[in-house]
Amino acid sequence: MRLSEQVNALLWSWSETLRALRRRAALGPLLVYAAAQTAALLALAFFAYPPLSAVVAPALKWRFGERALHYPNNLFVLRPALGEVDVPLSVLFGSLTAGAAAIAFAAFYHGRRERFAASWRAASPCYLPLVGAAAITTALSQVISRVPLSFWGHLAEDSPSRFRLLRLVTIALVIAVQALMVYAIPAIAAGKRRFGPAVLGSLRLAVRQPVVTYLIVAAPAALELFPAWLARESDVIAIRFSPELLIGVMLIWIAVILLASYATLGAATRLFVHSTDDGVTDTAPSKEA
Amino acid sequence: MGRTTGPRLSMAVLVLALLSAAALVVGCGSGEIRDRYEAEKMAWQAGKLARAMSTNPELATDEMRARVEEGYAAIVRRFRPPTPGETLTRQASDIASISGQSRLALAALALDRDDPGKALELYRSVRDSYSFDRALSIDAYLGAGNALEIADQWPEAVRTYEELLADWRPAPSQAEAPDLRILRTPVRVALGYTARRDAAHASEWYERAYAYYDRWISDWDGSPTAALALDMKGEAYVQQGRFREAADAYELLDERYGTEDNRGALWLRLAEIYASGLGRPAKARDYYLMVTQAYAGEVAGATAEIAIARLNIEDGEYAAARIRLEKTLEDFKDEKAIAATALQYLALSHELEGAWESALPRYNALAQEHPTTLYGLAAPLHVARHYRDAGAAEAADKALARAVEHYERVIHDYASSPAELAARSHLVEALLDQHEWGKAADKLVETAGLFAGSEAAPGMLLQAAELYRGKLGDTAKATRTLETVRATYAGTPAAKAADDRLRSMTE
Repeated sequence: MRLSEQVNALLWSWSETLRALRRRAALGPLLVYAAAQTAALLALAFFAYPPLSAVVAPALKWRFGERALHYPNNLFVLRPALGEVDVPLSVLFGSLTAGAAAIAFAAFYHGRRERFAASWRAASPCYLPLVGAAAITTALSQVISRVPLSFWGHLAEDSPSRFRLLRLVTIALVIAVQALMVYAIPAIAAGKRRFGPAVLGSLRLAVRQPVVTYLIVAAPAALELFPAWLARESDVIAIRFSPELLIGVMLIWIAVILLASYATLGAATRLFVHSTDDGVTDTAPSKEA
Repeated sequence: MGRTTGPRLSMAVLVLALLSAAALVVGCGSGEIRDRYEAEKMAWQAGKLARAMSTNPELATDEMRARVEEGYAAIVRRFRPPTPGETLTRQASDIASISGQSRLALAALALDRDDPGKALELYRSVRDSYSFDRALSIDAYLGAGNALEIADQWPEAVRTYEELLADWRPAPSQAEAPDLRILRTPVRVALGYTARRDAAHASEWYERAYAYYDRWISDWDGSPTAALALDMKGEAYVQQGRFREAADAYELLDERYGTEDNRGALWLRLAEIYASGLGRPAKARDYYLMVTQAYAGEVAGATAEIAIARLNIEDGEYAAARIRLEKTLEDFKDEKAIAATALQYLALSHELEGAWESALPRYNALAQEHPTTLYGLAAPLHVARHYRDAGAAEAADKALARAVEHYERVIHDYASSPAELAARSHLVEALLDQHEWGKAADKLVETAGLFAGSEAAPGMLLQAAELYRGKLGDTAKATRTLETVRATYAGTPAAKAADDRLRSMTE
């Protein structure tokens, strides 16, 4: 695919996603996931209150030490704690909500409105392959982002500029992994494919249009720079204003993740549906989806 | 659909109910985590405002003080102190500690409000309830002693300090760092008696201090406590004016516990004792030279260089002094205190040598480059007084006018800083030298109003009243000023002096 065609495809997929957003199509499942993240965030923030203190407090102590059980330290560890909770949550629950959203997107792009409950019902039978695709993506992303740091983490003190470069490279690689797998969820949920063909199909489609695929993941992910900057200023926010504002920062983060997921999933489903409608892939998508 | 939804819903409800019940049963015992968390949150909020007030005391308002006090009072109301002998869990111990710290903070606020009685009550409550918490208990003993001193109950204060020394060792164990405040307590009592002109008791307490230090020096030989006790013993001898014994103590400290980290300060102290206390400048010079060699390029080395230069100046070796001072100034031009001191001695060396034309630019540079240092502030007035003493009245007048201008600029540029108060004090001196009695008196009243909390404020008002009455003949203004002192600083020696003067004016 030529670069100009890829740019056209990118702009078209985003305009289609925007059209879906205006009609609030496929928003329900992603809102449910954001609600789950919010519940996890509130559980971490209010860990000290029964009955949460019986479950969340020992978990916080196990992962972040005794210090995390004291005010306002627990609010300072919200970001890494939510990051750790989000890993299993995104695999076990996020994969299902993404699948339901992909089905709703696909229906919208085919000119139908999929009801919230119907998209859940349609995604439920694909739960295991959806979890599989999400698990592979998450596992690879974790390996890429953590392994280099375990080898070259000392650069943070020895050579901050090299450390920043290392972080940039790992982020670029994580985005590349997510881009290679980005069509797997729409293929499983909306295309009703089995796990193997869905993953292979995603890789083929990503390789055929690398620029557009990379950008539909990278551009929305860049939105996270704002809450990431806010989180870096945690000390200032807590000391000059109030530590409780850090909960607000994390809520902004969840909202940004919701928007970014919507943009990525909407654009990926649009491109996937287009490729199947044009007969680009080997197997035609199931119209029942 | 009806066949499958019913059982699924029932199962879901059952699972949820079981989970909630389990969580509630387990969670009931976790109220302590919540209480500790809430105590920490309340302490953080009160502490945040308290820290802001202590960072910028001039911006602290009564409303802010009331909020801080209410914050700590809320903690004290909600979290009771532990009862003696009570076994505490980790959380309960933390809560008790926060409650105790809040009581101490409230006591400190009560002292600020001139309410030593309330402060004493709080300090005693902590002392009696927190024997399990070494840090809190020691704070409470010292706070109670201080409150009793402020309330002018000196014998009670001494008893409190005696109890502290009997109840708490200087450190929890030989290996741990000692609490300087405990080790300093005997000397503090001796100094208290000295201030009350009770030489017999002061002497008795110095002897008790030496015995106390000797006990820890021998019992915990080789420990950080023994080292600090030896240091304190030297300090006590200096306070008592027994410089020979002080030098012996510090030399033993150097021999037994000297390290690269503490030797610089130790040798400087020894040099100072030999120079000022024992009148042996040659020995002092040896110590200063040791510092310059071992700590070249460091602040301690520069301090020693300046001290040797000072000895050179005293011996009339001005050229040798200037070589050291010029080099120090060059190497430490970014260290304000060092640079200002070096510049001051450079100017002084020229002045004492009789080369005023060389000294003047140094004094001017001192005033311009280091306007907030004591030497920098003193320089313009010193120049004016040099001309006055030399009989150059016209030059003295011009220099005084320049000094007044300089101090006014410093006051403007460094408003609300300690330098402002010092500059105001110098400005008053310059105005008095100009015989501007009215301006000087008004400036004193203005400064006392701006720095009402400073120790110098009542003295300034008394001086202003004297100027109004003695130099300007304005008895009404003098009376108003003295009445202000009597009302604002009631119960202090200044208020008594104001009262005496008012009485003498009416008689």
